[in-house]
Amino acid sequence: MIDLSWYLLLSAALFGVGTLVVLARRNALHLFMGIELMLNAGNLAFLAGARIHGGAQAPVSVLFILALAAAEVAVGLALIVLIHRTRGTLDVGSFNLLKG
Amino acid sequence: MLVPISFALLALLALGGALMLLFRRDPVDGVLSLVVTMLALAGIYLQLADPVVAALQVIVYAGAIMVLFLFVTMFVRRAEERGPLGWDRPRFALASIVAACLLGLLVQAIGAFGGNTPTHPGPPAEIAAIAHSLFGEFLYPFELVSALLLVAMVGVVVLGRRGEESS
Repeated sequence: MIDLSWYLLLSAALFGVGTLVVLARRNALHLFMGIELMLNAGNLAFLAGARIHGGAQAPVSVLFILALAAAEVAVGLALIVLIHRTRGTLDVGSFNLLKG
Repeated sequence: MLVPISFALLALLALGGALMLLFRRDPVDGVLSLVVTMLALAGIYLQLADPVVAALQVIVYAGAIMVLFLFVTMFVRRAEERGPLGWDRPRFALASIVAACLLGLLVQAIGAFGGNTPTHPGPPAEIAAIAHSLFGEFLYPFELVSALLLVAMVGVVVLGRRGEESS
């Protein structure tokens, strides 16, 4: 039997590392993987909370997050392939088409 | 409060994978270490007596999503992305300050929440209960998700066609 706080702390740590990946890495692929990590941290918090409150809401929420992540990754990776084809780089610092 | 060795092991594995993602330069290494994190999280879900979500985690996340990542990564990777990581130091320092602040806030919130509640190992979440919730209470969100997946699919097809025209 484990205290809920351990699960929440692990979730917070994973979320923090995901934030760091998104903010510090310059490769667009790493950015997307950091977002996946943050989504997973949220899932873990949902499921840990479900052990206290019970009910089927948490697994259903995780299911929705899974579907959203799949859709997001499909569109995001298509964008990455397209950007790589047209600009030849994935450095997020070089994406400046919308700059005024 | 004693932490069971299995949970500690899985948590270390998950955190190790996440840190590998942060510190390895090659995106392929990042994808593979993220797979390790996903599988460790699936083990933790099993410990939480949630076998349905654990199976979904392995099939959808570690299977489908990460394989998609791996394909695209190998498609767009370039040779100079191997070797040591050239850190952009001010950027990394600023990012770690922001991440540390966020982590501190989260930990403080967990402490204020009083998370000393023990998680009772009750009966596992039955798939029948999940199905009832999904197709009863959450029917409209479920249909919206199917519409979202369709829109994403059409969008990806359009993006792929546009890439062909321009090259």
